[in-house]
Amino acid sequence: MPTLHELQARFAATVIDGDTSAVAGSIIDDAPGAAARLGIYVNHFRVTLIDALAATFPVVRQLVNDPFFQAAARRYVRAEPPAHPCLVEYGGGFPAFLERLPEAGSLAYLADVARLEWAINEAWHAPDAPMVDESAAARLIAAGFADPSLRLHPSCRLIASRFPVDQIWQVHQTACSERETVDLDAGGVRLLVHRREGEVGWIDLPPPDFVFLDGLILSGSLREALTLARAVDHGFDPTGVLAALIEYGLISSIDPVH
Amino acid sequence: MAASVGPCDHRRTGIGFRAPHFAEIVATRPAVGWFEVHAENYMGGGPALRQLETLRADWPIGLHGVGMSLGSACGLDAQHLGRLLALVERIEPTLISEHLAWSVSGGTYLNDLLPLPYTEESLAIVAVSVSTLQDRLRRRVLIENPSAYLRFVHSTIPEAEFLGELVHRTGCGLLFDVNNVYVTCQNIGGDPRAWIEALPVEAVQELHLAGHCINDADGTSVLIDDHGSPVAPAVWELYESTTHRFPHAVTLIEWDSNLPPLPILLTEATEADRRRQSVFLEACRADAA
Repeated sequence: MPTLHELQARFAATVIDGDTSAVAGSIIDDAPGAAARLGIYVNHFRVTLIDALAATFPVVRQLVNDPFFQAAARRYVRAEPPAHPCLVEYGGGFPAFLERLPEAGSLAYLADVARLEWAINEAWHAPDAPMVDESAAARLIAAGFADPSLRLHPSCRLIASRFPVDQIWQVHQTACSERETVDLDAGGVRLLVHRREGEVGWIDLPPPDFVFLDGLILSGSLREALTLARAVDHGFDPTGVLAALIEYGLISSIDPVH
Repeated sequence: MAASVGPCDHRRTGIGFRAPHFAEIVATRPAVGWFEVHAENYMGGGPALRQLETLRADWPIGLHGVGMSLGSACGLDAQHLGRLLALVERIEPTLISEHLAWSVSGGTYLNDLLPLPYTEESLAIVAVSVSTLQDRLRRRVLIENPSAYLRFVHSTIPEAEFLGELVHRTGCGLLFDVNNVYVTCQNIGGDPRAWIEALPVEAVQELHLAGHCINDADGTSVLIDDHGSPVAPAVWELYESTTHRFPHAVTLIEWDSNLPPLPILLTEATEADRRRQSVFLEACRADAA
């Protein structure tokens, strides 16, 4: 008799790869047989996780066709099953998986659209956080950007793409017949995806602003973020982007010293 | 009796809340007893949590966990426990429930309520996990019987007896899913009515009702607990025996896939109320006679 630990490890392997032989011996084999009974769990795992990916990546699903999406999702589910119990948090690796998929090679923008959809999903479900008001921001500016620590709202995500992924996403919000075409050579985007008053949206940022916010999210240090942005644009002044962040309620805390 | 179930105990049946119904619920304020949600859908923030906070102002809320994996040999996930505690503190639910099942092995979540062999070993493991959960939440938690599609050769304890022993060891309550016991008995054998008789009456505080579908497996019909259709006639009949035995338990209609318009769910809840009422009246008449 296997221990519970052994049985669950074998059962899990069966559910993920569909090979019922490792655990069938532990199942009473009356009609329907053990393999068919185990198949119900194998099928549930695959179908519910593919459905979860389809719900999180609806535009990716439209860009490819449904059989392609199903096949890609099925391979992803097997390669990278969930590591957390909350279903809405599943699928973070799907954009990179699509990028590595040889069959998706003809759609160079597919993985970036998936990244945008994942950022939207994360922004939607991110924890709530306080926002600093304009007086706190004024104090920050009055302090001459010494070296305060800034924390952006937990919903903030940065997405850079050499394709107009925001337009691609937008045109897929309407029915096919009414869809405008997107000029794929229109240039790339640098998006700050965020949640504001319960709605997820984004701002397309100039390159230095994007580098600045990227540095801020990674380090939390205003000084480090400024150094990075000024390497791109020597005369970069953060006043404009900081004022926009405060207006949008996207700065959660300012601490005097980093 | 009332003290053990709290504000939920105004008898009226509740429904599983799903976000697409939110606007209609707020606009029409249906006469539903309470709402239950899957705890795992509210562990972030933003609009989902706002909706739940709006509902909780006017209705009792039940938190129904689907990811705690009480039956995993590896024990509970401390981080997930922390997230549930934070949600419990924020929502202050009238009832908290989880499943007699497992869903994680080796760090991989299988997104399902998987079956346990019922042995002394698994009983000891589940009892420790249920106690840990209750200690952390400082609340009694209700444990639900799962739908089964198979039996393990080395199971030695009948499911109802296993649940009764869990109540005895941990002080937990029970959520008796009428559809699940019907599905289980159809799929692996057993008599649902004997099953009901075997449960400790005081522990059963909540009843679930849901629809199931019938699939073919190897040429044999198997009932699948998909929560995607109206409650089946045989399950309604079983519900009447159940409310007779557990008169103090509150009822909930679950409907998760093929989500129907809100009025269909309300009709199911009204039907549950009607059947329950008639069982009570019958019992009163019998007492009087």
